[in-house]
Amino acid sequence: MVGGYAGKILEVDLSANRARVLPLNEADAKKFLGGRGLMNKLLWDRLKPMTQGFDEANQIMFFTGPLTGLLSGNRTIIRFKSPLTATTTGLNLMGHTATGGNWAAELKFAGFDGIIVQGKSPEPVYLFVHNGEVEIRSAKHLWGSSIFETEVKLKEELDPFTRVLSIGPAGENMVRYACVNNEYFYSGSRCGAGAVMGSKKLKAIAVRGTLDIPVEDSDTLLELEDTVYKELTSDPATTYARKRWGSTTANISSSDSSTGPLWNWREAHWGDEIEKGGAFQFESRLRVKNRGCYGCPVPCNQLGIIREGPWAGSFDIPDYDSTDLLHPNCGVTDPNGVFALSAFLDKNGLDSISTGNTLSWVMECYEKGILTKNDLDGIELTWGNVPAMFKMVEKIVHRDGIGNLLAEGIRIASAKIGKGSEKFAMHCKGVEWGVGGAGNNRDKRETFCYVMSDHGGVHLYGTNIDGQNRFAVADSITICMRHLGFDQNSIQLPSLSKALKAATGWNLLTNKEEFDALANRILILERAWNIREGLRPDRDDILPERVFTEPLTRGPKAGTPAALYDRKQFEADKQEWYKARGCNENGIPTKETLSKLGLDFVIPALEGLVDL
Amino acid sequence: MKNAMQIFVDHNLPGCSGCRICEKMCALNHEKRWNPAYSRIKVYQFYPGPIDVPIVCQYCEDRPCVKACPTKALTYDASTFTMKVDESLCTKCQACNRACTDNGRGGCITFHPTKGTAQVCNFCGGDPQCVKYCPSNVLHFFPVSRFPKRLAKSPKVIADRIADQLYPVKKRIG
Repeated sequence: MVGGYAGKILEVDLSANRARVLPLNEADAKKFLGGRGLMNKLLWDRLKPMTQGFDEANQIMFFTGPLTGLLSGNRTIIRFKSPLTATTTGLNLMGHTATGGNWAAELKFAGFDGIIVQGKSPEPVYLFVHNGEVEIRSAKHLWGSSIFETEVKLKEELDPFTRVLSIGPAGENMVRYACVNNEYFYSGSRCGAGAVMGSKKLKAIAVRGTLDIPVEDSDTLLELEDTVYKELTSDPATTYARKRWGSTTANISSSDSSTGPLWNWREAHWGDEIEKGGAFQFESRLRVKNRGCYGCPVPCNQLGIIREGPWAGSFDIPDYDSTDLLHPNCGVTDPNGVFALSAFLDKNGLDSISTGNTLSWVMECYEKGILTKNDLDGIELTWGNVPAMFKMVEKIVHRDGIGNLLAEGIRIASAKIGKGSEKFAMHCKGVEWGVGGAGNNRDKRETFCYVMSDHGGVHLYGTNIDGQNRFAVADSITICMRHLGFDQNSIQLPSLSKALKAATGWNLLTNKEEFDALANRILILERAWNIREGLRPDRDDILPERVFTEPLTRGPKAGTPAALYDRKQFEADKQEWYKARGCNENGIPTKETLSKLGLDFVIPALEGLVDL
Repeated sequence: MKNAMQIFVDHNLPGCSGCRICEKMCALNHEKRWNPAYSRIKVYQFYPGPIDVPIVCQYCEDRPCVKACPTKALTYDASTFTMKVDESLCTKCQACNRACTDNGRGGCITFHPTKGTAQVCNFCGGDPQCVKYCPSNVLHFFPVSRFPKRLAKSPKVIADRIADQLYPVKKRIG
């Protein structure tokens, strides 16, 4: 058996209430590494075409990669048919999300590279995975509990060292953007992974393991542990900033550089108001300490607690994206309010990015009179009204009244409400925009990150070809994206290649060309899968109207060409991406590209659907 | 080692981040395995928080664990100032760890996941890897003239103390 991997995949069928162990396909592992890449292949092979997000036939996969549990590898990558990501005609597409913490490493110690869950259970269940075994247990006593309560209860029930990945009431109620959390706050939030788990009545996956991860050449890998530790902390200033503030400093810097979201992405620059939230407010009012994922030498999550006011006692780990969408994008000026909302969303299992976007969209509708107080069940959702936001979130979680419509995400909600609200519904392929990276730039970065992403408007697809390649490979080896920037505080390519060699014995990623080819293979397979599932890039690769028609009027970009995205430029940027990735002008990967990348198996399936 | 030493676990701010590099490096140094189950240091996690509490042998002067060992497998070597486990004598009875917890201490002795024999911190022969790699400056290695039992407490007691220090509000879930 090849090292680095546990060599086994757990397949759980909830309809039949049984589980079995599948061997890891080594040829596929060598071709796609693991995590994101391997799951693309598995989804291609296993999922019936045109399965929809909430169908019984949908499968949700939780995977690790060859370096998980070794070096700084600690990411769990989750892929599934998303109930949120969709074409303009409403066909569901790829769902992808990732989370840190200790869960991924623990799964490897429990003897599995990944878990595939299919079918639907009639009763609530949770999985207990331990040392190569799995039990499907009743979760009736956990159903309805918040994410925090679920984790506490399961740790009491099983073992204090159990790592738990669970959904909250929002996931149970199949809110289309419900998240899954592990270790309380480490959230796999995008694309509705929690909703899929909820639709399968799967409350949690608890993992405990004490098995070894086999490696090919342990002496070399042991030396690399030290090398990588040094590389990841090579720049003292970055290390210090990440440990002290994490990503939350970007709230302020993005507003200052006119790239942040403000008032439902209408503006990008908030001036001095932005200082009412962000890293320094969080630090002085809330911060307790930093927390890190397994084996990470730069722990960058900032744990905080609200110390006074109505929300005293709320715990959370706020990060840039979740706080920025709740803070300037909803016009909130109370840092405690932002933090309390973020904690409330984590507790109930809602994605704070999608929820922030949904709330800001409703606020704009309310401001423009498209939605009235009556439509909103008596809630006056004005900009920055934190108590009203709490009430609305409560309604979304329980799909109560207007919350039932908002729980469908803004793609469906804006189509239902109409009256021009689609023009400022800030989503791509149904997934509400994240902010890191592309942000409110209104240029090529938005095209590359939000439009080209095969899992909708997520912020972690990469804003340029290089970035996309790095992210694709990081998600497949399952190390943190921040550890694969190839700049300061990053694993360098030679060490990465050596580590893969020492772990698996395979000569992989030995140079930049190989690295890019592997990433392209992963990304093109994603696109091909989406095309099989109904994506037509010429029709579906679009941006919301706002970026073309409503110029930014505040800050350094006001009055300059950068305030607006030019439609012609958008078309040119799209073509640039298609060309760079080996697609034709309609965005379909060409036969040559597919053959060159070793993806011949997709050609027959696509041939009948589109012109290759 | 020339002097008696102690791994001092600093539970003050900024606290342990829960990254478990200490566990990973400990298991690697002692057993060359990528598996924190072989670690002699263990990070407990408590909620609300999560508050992370690393527990490692504090080398108490009275050593209830050594007294409790029925086969004298667990001994203290006064010439090197380190604890030793003789695996051939160890009967896997776990009496040492029970004595540790029963005396209100951390329960710092771990057990080999497959053999079941006791594992205890021996300072990696004078260069403890957990201290070397701790990214949060929580673990320190100090020479001592006497061993204060101040830190040889159960993880729950330490977590409660940290919580009182850090969160001057009512503790509750959520």
